[in-house]
Amino acid sequence: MPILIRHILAGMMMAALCLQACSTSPSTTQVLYDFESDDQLDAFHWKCHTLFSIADAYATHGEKSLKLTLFPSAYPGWSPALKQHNWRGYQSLRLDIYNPEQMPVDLTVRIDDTKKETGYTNRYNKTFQLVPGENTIEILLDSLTTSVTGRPLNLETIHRFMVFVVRPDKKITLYLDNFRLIPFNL
Amino acid sequence: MYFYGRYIEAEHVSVVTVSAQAHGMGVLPEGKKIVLLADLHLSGFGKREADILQAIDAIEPDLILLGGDYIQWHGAIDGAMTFLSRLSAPDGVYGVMGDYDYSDSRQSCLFCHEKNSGKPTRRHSVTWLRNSAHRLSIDGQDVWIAGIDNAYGGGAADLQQAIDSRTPMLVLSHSPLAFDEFSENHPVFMLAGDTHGGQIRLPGWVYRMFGYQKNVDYNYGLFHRGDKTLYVTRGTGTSHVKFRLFCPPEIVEIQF
Repeated sequence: MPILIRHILAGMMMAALCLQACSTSPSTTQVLYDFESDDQLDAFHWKCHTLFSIADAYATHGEKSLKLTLFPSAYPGWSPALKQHNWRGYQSLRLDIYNPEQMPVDLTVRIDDTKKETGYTNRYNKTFQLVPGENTIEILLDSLTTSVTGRPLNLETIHRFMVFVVRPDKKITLYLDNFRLIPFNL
Repeated sequence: MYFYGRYIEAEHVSVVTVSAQAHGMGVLPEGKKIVLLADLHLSGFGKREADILQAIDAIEPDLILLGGDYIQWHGAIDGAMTFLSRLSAPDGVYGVMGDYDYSDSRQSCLFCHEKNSGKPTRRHSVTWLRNSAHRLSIDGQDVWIAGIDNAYGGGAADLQQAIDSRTPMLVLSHSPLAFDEFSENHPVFMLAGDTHGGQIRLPGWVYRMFGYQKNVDYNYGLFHRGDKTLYVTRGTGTSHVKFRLFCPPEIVEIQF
């Protein structure tokens, strides 16, 4: 093969490698929590009227799920420490939830892109109805906007994720699993 | 001086007596005694803790009030739970939580509940006050005992029912800054800790420089504003460093 052609091919390979290295879009699913071990519970914000435990039932990823027991109170729910704050490059957020109750449960999702509490209108808030049985909450990240003002959230500084029930009048149990970020190519 | 602050002053806890009647705070019937403890910051349970309990028993208090910070930051809880289990008084033991007690949120549940359960703990008989109030009748005299817990959400506003009753109130708060949330027209007797009296006696501008407003405004002792009164205890333990200088640890006996 003439030297010139070899040099051209080598240059093209180098360019291809650089392009791949320089790409910021992830290509694999990022599992944020899979609830496989009890020590993951240490990363949650524990407060009164909510109980967390690792369960063998209703797992959709691995062997275990998170059992969430919510007692009557203002906003019982789940608020985990986020190990990954940069969600840019992902297409969506998904969370599998099994509702063993006989009735639908309204679950509110709150996402903040600031560390400081700045109020309802400066964060994403949306309520999802969980039917009895299997559910998957999917949130397209390009739809993450603040309530009322409609400001797009800064996906590079996602600080807080919460799910909660508003003022339940009786105990509610839910099973969560496979809290994950989905890339564009899936 | 290091040896004195570390091994003598930090270790020796004495009983400080405050006369409530002398300061116009007749919240409880005459002759009653309250013990106030705060900022224990226990790492375990040993001779020092047993001595503190013995001193409390010798006072024979009618009521024990606890001002929070029972453990070290992210510290173990067992020593504090053993200590709390040994407390009892005829009119009850009431307490509030401090910021250190919430440093490990999962562990903080154990102050109230059995492990991995919503059932109340059986390890002690402390009644926790979280922006709530209990109405007691002590020797025929009604009194509200209320507690403020800023980490739990809310604050003095949640105690409005007790405030509206115009009945004398004993208010427990970990931070003395909650004193500013109450009107000067209400007969509130607040008991607080958190400051450690500075732990090392320093001028107010030094506390201000480090951002310790609580020490600037209410470092230690009695404060009167209209009808409301605040007592801030130096507490019994230490945090950050095991060292006290001219701020000896104390158990407070309040005599009515």
